Amino acid sequence: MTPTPTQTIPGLSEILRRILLPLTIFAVVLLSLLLLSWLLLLPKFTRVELHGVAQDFGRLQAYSQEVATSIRSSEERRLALILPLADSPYGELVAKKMSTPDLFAFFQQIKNVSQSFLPEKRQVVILQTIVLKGQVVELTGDVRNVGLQSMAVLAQFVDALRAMPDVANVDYPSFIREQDSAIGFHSPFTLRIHLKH
Amino acid sequence: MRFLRSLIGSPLFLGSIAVIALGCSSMFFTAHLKAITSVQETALPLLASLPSIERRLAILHEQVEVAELDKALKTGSQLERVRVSVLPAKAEVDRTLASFELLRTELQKQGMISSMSSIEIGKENSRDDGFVATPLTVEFKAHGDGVQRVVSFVRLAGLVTVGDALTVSERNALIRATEEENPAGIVALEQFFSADLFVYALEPRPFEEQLQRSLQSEAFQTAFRTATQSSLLRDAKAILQGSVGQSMSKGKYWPMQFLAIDRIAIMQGAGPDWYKLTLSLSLLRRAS
Repeated sequence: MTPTPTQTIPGLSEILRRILLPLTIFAVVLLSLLLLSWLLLLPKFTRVELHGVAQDFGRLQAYSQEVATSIRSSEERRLALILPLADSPYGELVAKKMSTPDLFAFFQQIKNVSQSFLPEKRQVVILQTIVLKGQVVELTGDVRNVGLQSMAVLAQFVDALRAMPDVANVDYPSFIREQDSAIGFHSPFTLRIHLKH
Repeated sequence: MRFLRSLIGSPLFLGSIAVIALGCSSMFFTAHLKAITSVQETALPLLASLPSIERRLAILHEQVEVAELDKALKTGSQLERVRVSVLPAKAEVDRTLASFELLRTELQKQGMISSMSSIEIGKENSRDDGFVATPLTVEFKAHGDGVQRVVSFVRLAGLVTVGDALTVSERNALIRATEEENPAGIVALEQFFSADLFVYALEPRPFEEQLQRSLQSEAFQTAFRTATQSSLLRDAKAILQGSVGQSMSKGKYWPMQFLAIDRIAIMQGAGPDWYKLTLSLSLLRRAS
Protein backbone atom coordinates (compact mmCIF):
# COMPACT_ATOMS: atom_id res chain seq x y z
CA MET A 1 0.00 0.00 0.00
CA THR A 2 1.35 3.28 -1.05
CA PRO A 3 0.59 6.20 1.26
CA THR A 4 -1.62 8.90 -0.24
CA PRO A 5 -0.08 12.40 -0.21
CA THR A 6 -1.75 14.79 2.20
CA GLN A 7 -3.03 18.07 0.64
CA THR A 8 -2.75 21.11 2.90
CA ILE A 9 -5.71 23.47 2.46
CA PRO A 10 -4.53 27.16 2.55
CA GLY A 11 -5.99 29.40 5.23
CA LEU A 12 -8.24 32.38 4.57
CA SER A 13 -5.44 34.89 5.12
CA GLU A 14 -3.27 33.07 2.60
CA ILE A 15 -6.07 33.17 0.01
CA LEU A 16 -6.59 36.89 0.65
CA ARG A 17 -2.87 37.57 0.48
CA ARG A 18 -2.59 35.79 -2.85
CA ILE A 19 -5.54 37.70 -4.31
CA LEU A 20 -4.72 41.05 -2.75
CA LEU A 21 -1.10 41.22 -3.82
CA PRO A 22 -1.77 41.36 -7.59
CA LEU A 23 -4.85 43.52 -7.02
CA THR A 24 -2.81 46.03 -5.04
CA ILE A 25 -0.04 46.04 -7.64
CA PHE A 26 -2.66 46.61 -10.35
CA ALA A 27 -4.31 49.45 -8.41
CA VAL A 28 -0.99 51.17 -7.68
CA VAL A 29 0.15 50.88 -11.31
CA LEU A 30 -3.22 52.18 -12.56
CA LEU A 31 -3.05 55.13 -10.18
CA SER A 32 0.52 55.90 -11.23
CA LEU A 33 -0.43 55.80 -14.90
CA LEU A 34 -3.44 58.05 -14.36
CA LEU A 35 -1.32 60.46 -12.35
CA LEU A 36 1.27 60.58 -15.11
CA SER A 37 -1.47 61.08 -17.67
CA TRP A 38 -2.95 63.92 -15.59
CA LEU A 39 0.39 65.64 -15.27
CA LEU A 40 1.89 65.00 -18.68
CA LEU A 41 -0.61 63.76 -21.26
CA LEU A 42 -3.87 65.53 -20.47
CA PRO A 43 -2.48 69.10 -20.57
CA LYS A 44 -1.04 68.29 -24.01
CA PHE A 45 -4.30 66.96 -25.39
CA THR A 46 -6.59 69.57 -23.85
CA ARG A 47 -4.56 72.58 -24.97
CA VAL A 48 -5.97 74.80 -27.66
CA GLU A 49 -4.07 77.02 -30.02
CA LEU A 50 -4.71 80.72 -29.49
CA HIS A 51 -2.91 83.14 -31.78
CA GLY A 52 -0.44 80.40 -32.70
CA VAL A 53 0.40 79.60 -29.09
CA ALA A 54 -0.90 76.53 -27.27
CA GLN A 55 -2.87 77.64 -24.22
CA ASP A 56 -4.67 75.69 -21.55
CA PHE A 57 -8.42 75.97 -21.08
CA GLY A 58 -8.18 78.25 -18.04
CA ARG A 59 -6.07 80.77 -19.96
CA LEU A 60 -8.51 80.64 -22.86
CA GLN A 61 -11.42 81.37 -20.52
CA ALA A 62 -9.54 84.24 -18.90
CA TYR A 63 -8.67 85.70 -22.30
CA SER A 64 -12.27 85.43 -23.46
CA GLN A 65 -13.41 87.21 -20.27
CA GLU A 66 -10.83 89.94 -20.93
CA VAL A 67 -12.15 90.46 -24.47
CA ALA A 68 -15.76 90.54 -23.21
CA THR A 69 -14.85 93.15 -20.58
CA SER A 70 -13.02 95.25 -23.19
CA ILE A 71 -16.06 95.07 -25.46
CA ARG A 72 -18.35 96.28 -22.67
CA SER A 73 -16.08 99.18 -21.74
CA SER A 74 -15.60 100.15 -25.41
CA GLU A 75 -19.37 100.10 -25.93
CA GLU A 76 -19.83 102.36 -22.92
CA ARG A 77 -17.10 104.70 -24.16
CA ARG A 78 -18.63 104.78 -27.63
CA LEU A 79 -22.09 105.56 -26.24
CA ALA A 80 -20.61 108.32 -24.09
CA LEU A 81 -19.06 109.82 -27.21
CA ILE A 82 -22.19 109.48 -29.36
CA LEU A 83 -24.61 110.61 -26.64
CA PRO A 84 -22.49 112.69 -24.28
CA LEU A 85 -25.35 113.48 -21.90
CA ALA A 86 -26.63 109.89 -21.61
CA ASP A 87 -24.99 109.39 -18.20
CA SER A 88 -25.97 112.78 -16.82
CA PRO A 89 -29.07 113.37 -14.63
CA TYR A 90 -30.71 114.85 -17.74
CA GLY A 91 -29.89 111.67 -19.67
CA GLU A 92 -31.54 109.61 -16.95
CA LEU A 93 -34.70 111.74 -17.15
CA VAL A 94 -34.79 111.27 -20.92
CA ALA A 95 -34.20 107.51 -20.65
CA LYS A 96 -37.04 107.21 -18.13
CA LYS A 97 -39.39 109.21 -20.32
CA MET A 98 -38.49 107.24 -23.43
CA SER A 99 -39.16 103.97 -21.63
CA THR A 100 -42.72 105.05 -20.78
CA PRO A 101 -45.02 102.64 -22.61
CA ASP A 102 -47.35 103.94 -25.31
CA LEU A 103 -50.57 103.77 -23.28
CA PHE A 104 -52.96 104.57 -26.11
CA ALA A 105 -51.51 101.86 -28.37
CA PHE A 106 -51.71 99.43 -25.44
CA PHE A 107 -55.35 100.44 -24.83
CA GLN A 108 -56.12 99.68 -28.50
CA GLN A 109 -54.48 96.26 -28.13
CA ILE A 110 -56.60 95.55 -25.05
CA LYS A 111 -59.69 96.62 -26.98
CA ASN A 112 -58.83 94.12 -29.72
CA VAL A 113 -58.33 91.39 -27.11
CA SER A 114 -61.66 92.26 -25.44
CA GLN A 115 -63.44 91.88 -28.77
CA SER A 116 -61.71 88.73 -29.93
CA PHE A 117 -61.05 86.53 -26.91
CA LEU A 118 -64.60 85.14 -27.11
CA PRO A 119 -65.32 85.03 -30.85
CA GLU A 120 -68.96 84.05 -30.37
CA LYS A 121 -69.66 86.83 -27.87
CA ARG A 122 -68.89 90.43 -28.73
CA GLN A 123 -69.55 93.56 -26.70
CA VAL A 124 -69.31 91.68 -23.44
CA VAL A 125 -66.26 93.49 -22.03
CA ILE A 126 -66.84 97.22 -21.82
CA LEU A 127 -63.61 99.16 -21.21
CA GLN A 128 -64.02 102.43 -19.38
CA THR A 129 -60.71 103.84 -18.16
CA ILE A 130 -57.05 103.00 -18.49
CA VAL A 131 -54.49 104.66 -16.24
CA LEU A 132 -50.70 104.41 -16.44
CA LYS A 133 -48.63 105.09 -13.37
CA GLY A 134 -45.01 104.00 -13.56
CA GLN A 135 -44.98 100.58 -15.19
CA VAL A 136 -48.39 99.59 -13.83
CA VAL A 137 -51.58 100.00 -15.82
CA GLU A 138 -54.95 100.14 -14.08
CA LEU A 139 -57.85 99.10 -16.28
CA THR A 140 -61.47 99.68 -15.29
CA GLY A 141 -64.44 98.18 -17.07
CA ASP A 142 -67.46 95.94 -16.89
CA VAL A 143 -68.46 92.49 -18.17
CA ARG A 144 -72.10 92.32 -19.21
CA ASN A 145 -74.58 90.70 -21.63
CA VAL A 146 -73.57 87.17 -20.56
CA GLY A 147 -76.05 86.68 -17.73
CA LEU A 148 -74.78 84.65 -14.80
CA GLN A 149 -71.51 83.85 -16.59
CA SER A 150 -70.11 87.35 -16.15
CA MET A 151 -67.53 86.34 -13.53
CA ALA A 152 -66.34 83.35 -15.60
CA VAL A 153 -66.01 85.61 -18.65
CA LEU A 154 -64.02 88.10 -16.58
CA ALA A 155 -61.62 85.32 -15.54
CA GLN A 156 -61.19 84.35 -19.21
CA PHE A 157 -60.54 88.00 -20.09
CA VAL A 158 -57.82 88.19 -17.43
CA ASP A 159 -56.19 85.07 -18.90
CA ALA A 160 -56.35 86.61 -22.38
CA LEU A 161 -54.65 89.77 -21.07
CA ARG A 162 -51.94 87.68 -19.41
CA ALA A 163 -51.15 86.15 -22.79
CA MET A 164 -50.41 89.57 -24.32
CA PRO A 165 -46.73 89.99 -25.25
CA ASP A 166 -46.09 93.20 -23.27
CA VAL A 167 -47.80 91.98 -20.12
CA ALA A 168 -45.72 90.59 -17.26
CA ASN A 169 -48.63 89.83 -14.95
CA VAL A 170 -52.23 90.74 -14.18
CA ASP A 171 -53.40 90.76 -10.58
CA TYR A 172 -56.67 88.89 -10.17
CA PRO A 173 -59.46 91.40 -9.52
CA SER A 174 -62.17 90.97 -6.91
CA PHE A 175 -64.81 88.95 -8.70
CA ILE A 176 -68.26 90.36 -8.04
CA ARG A 177 -71.56 90.03 -9.80
CA GLU A 178 -74.19 92.73 -9.56
CA GLN A 179 -77.66 93.04 -10.96
CA ASP A 180 -78.90 96.15 -12.66
CA SER A 181 -82.42 96.73 -13.91
CA ALA A 182 -81.14 98.08 -17.23
CA ILE A 183 -78.20 95.80 -18.04
CA GLY A 184 -79.01 92.72 -15.98
CA PHE A 185 -76.19 90.73 -14.38
CA HIS A 186 -72.78 92.32 -14.78
CA SER A 187 -69.29 92.22 -13.22
CA PRO A 188 -67.50 95.54 -12.85
CA PHE A 189 -63.73 95.18 -12.55
CA THR A 190 -60.50 97.04 -11.90
CA LEU A 191 -57.41 95.21 -13.09
CA ARG A 192 -53.80 95.99 -12.28
CA ILE A 193 -51.61 95.06 -15.24
CA HIS A 194 -47.84 94.87 -14.73
CA LEU A 195 -45.94 95.59 -17.92
CA LYS A 196 -42.68 94.00 -18.98
CA HIS A 197 -39.68 96.34 -18.72
CA MET B 1 13.29 43.46 5.25
CA ARG B 2 11.39 41.29 7.61
CA PHE B 3 9.11 44.21 8.40
CA LEU B 4 8.44 44.79 4.67
CA ARG B 5 7.75 41.12 4.14
CA SER B 6 5.37 41.12 7.06
CA LEU B 7 3.59 44.15 5.60
CA ILE B 8 3.23 42.51 2.16
CA GLY B 9 2.03 39.43 3.90
CA SER B 10 -0.64 41.37 5.80
CA PRO B 11 -4.02 41.20 4.00
CA LEU B 12 -5.23 44.23 5.94
CA PHE B 13 -2.37 46.39 4.71
CA LEU B 14 -2.67 45.17 1.11
CA GLY B 15 -6.44 45.63 1.16
CA SER B 16 -6.13 49.17 2.44
CA ILE B 17 -3.55 50.11 -0.22
CA ALA B 18 -5.71 48.53 -2.95
CA VAL B 19 -8.88 50.36 -1.82
CA ILE B 20 -7.11 53.72 -1.53
CA ALA B 21 -5.38 53.32 -4.90
CA LEU B 22 -8.60 52.24 -6.64
CA GLY B 23 -10.52 55.11 -5.04
CA CYS B 24 -7.93 57.65 -6.17
CA SER B 25 -7.83 56.05 -9.63
CA SER B 26 -11.58 56.40 -10.03
CA MET B 27 -11.34 60.06 -8.99
CA PHE B 28 -8.58 60.70 -11.50
CA PHE B 29 -10.49 58.85 -14.19
CA THR B 30 -13.58 61.03 -13.59
CA ALA B 31 -11.39 64.14 -13.65
CA HIS B 32 -9.97 63.01 -17.01
CA LEU B 33 -13.45 62.55 -18.41
CA LYS B 34 -14.54 65.96 -17.12
CA ALA B 35 -11.50 67.69 -18.58
CA ILE B 36 -12.03 66.10 -21.99
CA THR B 37 -15.77 66.86 -21.97
CA SER B 38 -15.21 70.49 -20.97
CA VAL B 39 -12.74 70.92 -23.82
CA GLN B 40 -15.25 69.47 -26.26
CA GLU B 41 -18.28 71.33 -24.93
CA THR B 42 -16.82 74.66 -23.84
CA ALA B 43 -13.31 75.32 -25.09
CA LEU B 44 -13.87 74.44 -28.73
CA PRO B 45 -17.07 76.53 -29.15
CA LEU B 46 -15.36 79.36 -27.23
CA LEU B 47 -12.35 79.14 -29.52
CA ALA B 48 -14.62 79.15 -32.58
CA SER B 49 -16.43 82.30 -31.38
CA LEU B 50 -13.25 84.18 -30.45
CA PRO B 51 -12.33 85.51 -33.92
CA SER B 52 -15.72 87.23 -34.32
CA ILE B 53 -15.56 88.67 -30.78
CA GLU B 54 -12.01 89.93 -31.41
CA ARG B 55 -13.10 91.44 -34.73
CA ARG B 56 -15.96 93.24 -32.93
CA LEU B 57 -13.53 94.57 -30.32
CA ALA B 58 -11.25 95.89 -33.07
CA ILE B 59 -14.23 97.60 -34.74
CA LEU B 60 -15.29 99.13 -31.43
CA HIS B 61 -11.76 100.44 -30.83
CA GLU B 62 -11.79 101.95 -34.30
CA GLN B 63 -15.20 103.55 -33.73
CA VAL B 64 -14.13 104.99 -30.38
CA GLU B 65 -11.00 106.50 -31.96
CA VAL B 66 -12.96 108.02 -34.83
CA ALA B 67 -15.69 109.35 -32.53
CA GLU B 68 -13.10 110.85 -30.18
CA LEU B 69 -11.54 112.77 -33.05
CA ASP B 70 -14.97 114.10 -34.00
CA LYS B 71 -16.06 114.94 -30.48
CA ALA B 72 -15.25 118.67 -30.72
CA LEU B 73 -17.33 120.96 -28.51
CA LYS B 74 -20.72 119.30 -28.93
CA THR B 75 -20.99 118.18 -25.33
CA GLY B 76 -20.59 121.71 -24.05
CA SER B 77 -23.22 123.21 -26.35
CA GLN B 78 -25.80 120.50 -25.57
CA LEU B 79 -25.20 120.87 -21.87
CA GLU B 80 -25.63 124.61 -22.13
CA ARG B 81 -29.00 124.26 -23.87
CA VAL B 82 -30.15 121.83 -21.19
CA ARG B 83 -29.08 124.21 -18.43
CA VAL B 84 -30.64 127.27 -20.01
CA SER B 85 -33.93 125.98 -21.42
CA VAL B 86 -34.69 122.36 -20.48
CA LEU B 87 -33.78 122.30 -16.82
CA PRO B 88 -33.42 125.96 -15.89
CA ALA B 89 -32.79 127.22 -12.40
CA LYS B 90 -36.20 128.92 -12.37
CA ALA B 91 -39.43 127.30 -13.58
CA GLU B 92 -40.88 128.99 -16.64
CA VAL B 93 -44.50 127.92 -16.38
CA ASP B 94 -45.67 130.60 -18.81
CA ARG B 95 -43.64 129.15 -21.67
CA THR B 96 -45.09 125.69 -21.06
CA LEU B 97 -48.66 127.04 -20.84
CA ALA B 98 -48.12 128.94 -24.08
CA SER B 99 -46.83 125.78 -25.79
CA PHE B 100 -49.94 123.85 -24.69
CA GLU B 101 -52.10 126.69 -25.95
CA LEU B 102 -50.42 126.48 -29.36
CA LEU B 103 -51.01 122.73 -29.43
CA ARG B 104 -54.67 123.16 -28.45
CA THR B 105 -55.29 125.73 -31.20
CA GLU B 106 -53.65 123.55 -33.86
CA LEU B 107 -55.34 120.28 -32.84
CA GLN B 108 -58.73 121.96 -32.54
CA LYS B 109 -58.27 123.37 -36.02
CA GLN B 110 -57.51 119.86 -37.28
CA GLY B 111 -60.56 118.44 -35.46
CA MET B 112 -58.40 116.18 -33.31
CA ILE B 113 -59.51 117.60 -29.97
CA SER B 114 -62.80 119.18 -28.98
CA SER B 115 -61.60 120.88 -25.80
CA MET B 116 -58.73 121.37 -23.40
CA SER B 117 -59.30 122.17 -19.75
CA SER B 118 -57.48 124.91 -17.94
CA ILE B 119 -54.12 123.70 -16.67
CA GLU B 120 -54.05 123.21 -12.92
CA ILE B 121 -50.74 124.17 -11.40
CA GLY B 122 -49.73 122.64 -8.08
CA LYS B 123 -47.18 123.62 -5.48
CA GLU B 124 -43.51 123.22 -6.26
CA ASN B 125 -41.90 120.25 -4.54
CA SER B 126 -38.44 118.69 -4.38
CA ARG B 127 -38.02 115.24 -5.90
CA ASP B 128 -35.77 112.38 -4.84
CA ASP B 129 -33.64 112.77 -7.97
CA GLY B 130 -32.64 116.30 -6.97
CA PHE B 131 -34.92 118.20 -9.35
CA VAL B 132 -37.72 120.54 -8.33
CA ALA B 133 -41.14 119.74 -9.81
CA THR B 134 -44.18 121.88 -10.46
CA PRO B 135 -47.20 119.57 -10.84
CA LEU B 136 -49.46 120.29 -13.81
CA THR B 137 -52.78 118.62 -14.55
CA VAL B 138 -54.68 119.03 -17.79
CA GLU B 139 -57.58 117.30 -19.50
CA PHE B 140 -58.40 116.93 -23.17
CA LYS B 141 -61.47 115.65 -24.96
CA ALA B 142 -59.77 114.18 -27.98
CA HIS B 143 -60.09 111.85 -30.93
CA GLY B 144 -57.74 108.85 -30.93
CA ASP B 145 -55.29 110.68 -33.21
CA GLY B 146 -55.47 113.71 -30.93
CA VAL B 147 -54.64 111.56 -27.88
CA GLN B 148 -51.54 110.29 -29.68
CA ARG B 149 -50.49 113.81 -30.66
CA VAL B 150 -50.93 115.26 -27.18
CA VAL B 151 -49.01 112.41 -25.52
CA SER B 152 -46.22 112.68 -28.11
CA PHE B 153 -46.05 116.45 -27.54
CA VAL B 154 -45.56 115.84 -23.82
CA ARG B 155 -42.91 113.20 -24.54
CA LEU B 156 -41.07 115.67 -26.77
CA ALA B 157 -41.04 118.35 -24.07
CA GLY B 158 -37.47 118.56 -22.80
CA LEU B 159 -35.77 116.58 -25.56
CA VAL B 160 -32.95 118.38 -27.32
CA THR B 161 -31.38 116.10 -29.91
CA VAL B 162 -32.52 113.45 -32.38
CA GLY B 163 -30.75 110.83 -30.28
CA ASP B 164 -32.89 111.80 -27.26
CA ALA B 165 -36.07 110.93 -29.19
CA LEU B 166 -34.99 107.34 -29.90
CA THR B 167 -35.51 104.41 -27.59
CA VAL B 168 -32.54 102.35 -26.43
CA SER B 169 -33.43 99.52 -28.83
CA GLU B 170 -33.80 101.88 -31.78
CA ARG B 171 -30.41 103.46 -31.05
CA ASN B 172 -28.72 100.10 -30.54
CA ALA B 173 -30.11 98.77 -33.82
CA LEU B 174 -28.59 101.73 -35.68
CA ILE B 175 -25.24 101.46 -33.89
CA ARG B 176 -24.96 97.71 -34.53
CA ALA B 177 -25.79 98.25 -38.19
CA THR B 178 -22.85 100.67 -38.54
CA GLU B 179 -20.55 98.11 -36.94
CA GLU B 180 -21.55 95.54 -39.51
CA GLU B 181 -21.31 97.82 -42.52
CA ASN B 182 -18.74 100.53 -41.98
CA PRO B 183 -17.25 101.25 -38.55
CA ALA B 184 -16.21 104.75 -39.64
CA GLY B 185 -19.89 105.47 -40.30
CA ILE B 186 -20.21 106.03 -36.57
CA VAL B 187 -19.23 109.66 -37.20
CA ALA B 188 -22.20 110.20 -39.51
CA LEU B 189 -24.44 108.46 -36.99
CA GLU B 190 -23.05 110.57 -34.15
CA GLN B 191 -23.80 113.71 -36.17
CA PHE B 192 -27.34 112.46 -36.79
CA PHE B 193 -27.89 111.70 -33.10
CA SER B 194 -26.57 115.09 -32.02
CA ALA B 195 -28.66 117.01 -34.58
CA ASP B 196 -31.08 119.51 -33.08
CA LEU B 197 -34.44 117.75 -32.80
CA PHE B 198 -36.45 120.84 -33.70
CA VAL B 199 -34.36 121.66 -36.79
CA TYR B 200 -34.51 118.00 -37.85
CA ALA B 201 -38.30 117.83 -37.40
CA LEU B 202 -38.82 120.94 -39.55
CA GLU B 203 -36.61 119.71 -42.40
CA PRO B 204 -35.52 116.09 -41.90
CA ARG B 205 -34.37 115.35 -45.43
CA PRO B 206 -30.80 116.81 -45.34
CA PHE B 207 -30.02 114.95 -42.09
CA GLU B 208 -31.46 111.68 -43.33
CA GLU B 209 -29.85 111.87 -46.75
CA GLN B 210 -26.45 112.63 -45.29
CA LEU B 211 -26.64 109.57 -43.06
CA GLN B 212 -28.03 107.34 -45.79
CA ARG B 213 -25.15 108.34 -48.09
CA SER B 214 -22.65 107.10 -45.50
CA LEU B 215 -24.44 103.86 -44.65
CA GLN B 216 -26.29 101.99 -47.34
CA SER B 217 -26.59 98.36 -46.24
CA GLU B 218 -30.00 96.73 -46.12
CA ALA B 219 -29.67 96.13 -42.36
CA PHE B 220 -28.94 99.79 -41.74
CA GLN B 221 -31.74 101.00 -44.01
CA THR B 222 -34.23 98.78 -42.17
CA ALA B 223 -33.10 100.02 -38.76
CA PHE B 224 -33.15 103.58 -40.06
CA ARG B 225 -36.69 103.26 -41.44
CA THR B 226 -37.88 101.88 -38.10
CA ALA B 227 -36.16 104.69 -36.22
CA THR B 228 -37.49 107.51 -38.37
CA GLN B 229 -40.90 106.26 -39.41
CA SER B 230 -42.31 104.47 -36.40
CA SER B 231 -40.78 106.25 -33.45
CA LEU B 232 -41.21 109.53 -31.64
CA LEU B 233 -39.28 111.15 -34.51
CA ARG B 234 -42.29 110.55 -36.77
CA ASP B 235 -44.57 112.27 -34.26
CA ALA B 236 -42.05 115.11 -33.85
CA LYS B 237 -42.21 115.74 -37.60
CA ALA B 238 -46.02 115.55 -37.62
CA ILE B 239 -46.36 118.01 -34.74
CA LEU B 240 -43.57 120.49 -35.41
CA GLN B 241 -43.81 120.73 -39.20
CA GLY B 242 -47.22 122.39 -38.88
CA SER B 243 -48.11 125.77 -37.49
CA VAL B 244 -47.20 124.57 -33.98
CA GLY B 245 -43.57 124.41 -35.04
CA GLN B 246 -43.66 127.84 -36.66
CA SER B 247 -45.30 129.44 -33.63
CA MET B 248 -42.89 127.73 -31.26
CA SER B 249 -40.00 128.97 -33.32
CA LYS B 250 -41.39 132.52 -33.35
CA GLY B 251 -42.14 132.52 -29.64
CA LYS B 252 -38.78 130.81 -28.86
CA TYR B 253 -40.58 128.10 -26.92
CA TRP B 254 -38.13 125.41 -28.08
CA PRO B 255 -36.40 123.62 -26.41
CA MET B 256 -39.28 123.16 -24.00
CA GLN B 257 -38.78 122.82 -20.29
CA PHE B 258 -38.68 119.16 -19.24
CA LEU B 259 -42.07 117.58 -18.56
CA ALA B 260 -42.02 114.29 -16.66
CA ILE B 261 -45.08 112.08 -17.07
CA ASP B 262 -46.48 111.10 -13.67
CA ARG B 263 -49.83 109.68 -14.69
CA ILE B 264 -51.83 109.25 -17.89
CA ALA B 265 -55.53 108.37 -17.79
CA ILE B 266 -57.60 107.64 -20.89
CA MET B 267 -61.36 107.35 -20.46
CA GLN B 268 -63.76 106.23 -23.15
CA GLY B 269 -65.57 109.32 -24.45
CA ALA B 270 -69.01 109.91 -25.91
CA GLY B 271 -68.18 109.02 -29.54
CA PRO B 272 -66.79 105.74 -30.84
CA ASP B 273 -63.17 106.94 -31.12
CA TRP B 274 -63.28 109.86 -28.70
CA TYR B 275 -61.63 109.89 -25.31
CA LYS B 276 -61.06 111.98 -22.24
CA LEU B 277 -57.32 112.25 -21.67
CA THR B 278 -56.03 113.35 -18.28
CA LEU B 279 -52.35 114.09 -17.89
CA SER B 280 -50.58 114.57 -14.57
CA LEU B 281 -47.19 116.03 -15.30
CA SER B 282 -44.20 117.48 -13.50
CA LEU B 283 -42.52 120.53 -14.92
CA LEU B 284 -38.93 120.11 -13.82
CA ARG B 285 -36.21 122.56 -13.02
CA ARG B 286 -32.83 122.05 -11.43
CA ALA B 287 -32.43 122.94 -7.79
CA SER B 288 -30.68 126.31 -7.61
